[in-house]
Amino acid sequence: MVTVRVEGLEFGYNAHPVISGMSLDINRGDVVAVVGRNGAGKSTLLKCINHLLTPIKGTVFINEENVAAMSLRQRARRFGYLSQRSEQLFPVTVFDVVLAGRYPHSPVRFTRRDEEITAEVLTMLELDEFAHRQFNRLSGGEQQQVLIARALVQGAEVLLFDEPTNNLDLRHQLQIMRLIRSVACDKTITSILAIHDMNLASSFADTIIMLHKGAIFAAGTPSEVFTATTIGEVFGVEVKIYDHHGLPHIVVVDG
Amino acid sequence: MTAESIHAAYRGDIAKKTGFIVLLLFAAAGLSMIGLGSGPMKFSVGRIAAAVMNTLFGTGFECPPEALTVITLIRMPRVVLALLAGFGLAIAGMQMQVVLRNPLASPLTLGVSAGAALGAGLAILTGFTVVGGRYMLIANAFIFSLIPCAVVYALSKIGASGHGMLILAGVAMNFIFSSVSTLLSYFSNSEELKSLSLWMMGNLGRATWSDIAPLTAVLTVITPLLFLQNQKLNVLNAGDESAQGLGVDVERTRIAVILLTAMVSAAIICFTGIIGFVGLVSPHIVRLLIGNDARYLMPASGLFGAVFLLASDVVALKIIEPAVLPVGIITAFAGGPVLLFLIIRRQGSRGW
Repeated sequence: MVTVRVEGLEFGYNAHPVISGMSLDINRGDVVAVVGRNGAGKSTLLKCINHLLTPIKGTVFINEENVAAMSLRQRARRFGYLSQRSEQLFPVTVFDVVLAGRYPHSPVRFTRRDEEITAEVLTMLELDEFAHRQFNRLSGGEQQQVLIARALVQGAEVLLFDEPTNNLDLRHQLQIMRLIRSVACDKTITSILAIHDMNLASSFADTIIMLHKGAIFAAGTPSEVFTATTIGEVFGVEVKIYDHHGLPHIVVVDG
Repeated sequence: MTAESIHAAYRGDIAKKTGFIVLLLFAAAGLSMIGLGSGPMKFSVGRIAAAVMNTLFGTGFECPPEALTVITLIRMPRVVLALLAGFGLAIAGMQMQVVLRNPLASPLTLGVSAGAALGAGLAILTGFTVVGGRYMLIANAFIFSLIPCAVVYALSKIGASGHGMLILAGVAMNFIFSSVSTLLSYFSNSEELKSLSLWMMGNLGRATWSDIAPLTAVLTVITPLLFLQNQKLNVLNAGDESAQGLGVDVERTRIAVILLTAMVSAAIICFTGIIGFVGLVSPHIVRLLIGNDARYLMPASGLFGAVFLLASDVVALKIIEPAVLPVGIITAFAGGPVLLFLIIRRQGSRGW
């Protein structure tokens, strides 16, 4: 079942197109990895999906509803957006960061119920010991987990991750990807990730969308998209693809 | 930990923050009594209490007319002005700091104070006023302090609303306004010069009940409007992009808060002259004690600012009795070192 439908999406700054003529369907509960070179339009695509950036042309639907016709808060109840930069300006506790996810539901004041939901999600994600610690003092991986908790508290159906594994060590990269995976399974939440690490994408994503120069170059399962030819053409790098338990594993050929 | 115990701990935190606010209320009340007792004439606590009861509940409390006059017509306006001005400057500073994402933002930093100073200077020295009559100085200061607000608003309209840009614009306006003010004082005679410099140093001594009324009206209207922004400010703390993703109209919130806080500051500065550091330092001290939840930080900062300014005024009255110092000198003298301490402390920790 299609959750997110993008039709003829176009976006650019001052007549300089970043994305042009992009259309895609994303199924409910899928983990979708968007890969491509720097500047290929990965982040722009994510931000156009929830209209953080207003597209010049084209339409985005979530469950057949036009995103452009929704208010900011209506969008925030459907989409959770996890930006690359997560530091809070003034230090606040993890509980406060997650509670802010209830804003789209309680724009004037948070209720007891909002606080209870926050506490429940923190327990569910096993973040209970962090609840009253300062967010800015947590490690990058811990911060990502807290932001996922905030997105769950938001009640969003679609989570948009802008490079969730950036600056994380191997262990935390895996931890975050597993969390994204398990959230997708348990709650039929759809996740769309902009990500650089293609091997992580291959192991954890159902669908890969490879962008090149603001357009979709290839889309499909990891085995369909990650071939030596596509990667060679998009990244200009020679690679070999090995089979790893039925999934493609990419190794750079040093030439 | 279970969800219930996490929630209970959170509730405990909230209770502490509320307790702190109640404590500040008591401090403000106690300090007000000290303020009413400060001055060249000494009165017993009973006299002061009787005068206060008289003002609040009408006649029926024994108090000699002389004491009643001094306390209710001279000292009480001064104390009330200190409380209102301290409260308003501190809530304005706190909200400016969040929406401009700049810990150094305050009514001074945006150039609001310098604009008001120029308006007052023009009124005193050249007689140029926009409004005539009794309120000419005040009205002039208010109207001129709206110039930096308009510039800040225009900058955010053309897209230059990055927090660094706005503060730099404030610095630029500070220079422009104070150079004109300095030019004015260069061409003034000694009496005008004294009047102007008294105003530039911040002074609660001229307070009358007819000043309190319009200021109370402004604060009564704007404080609830600002309080309504606190929920959004808590979300804004996560950064513009995240806040927008959580459903906050970032640009609109920012403009609304800038305009409302500038109006509060201008309304205060035109009665008191330039009082620095209350708006800048009070929110930071309260942050250290109760954290950054805007819903509690705003009222607590306001009350702390009120206590800070009133305490400074009591010191200004008492330090070289019977002479009275301008209160702005005391707030700067106390606030400057606190600011330095906060900057040094910041090196060791993340964020403010």
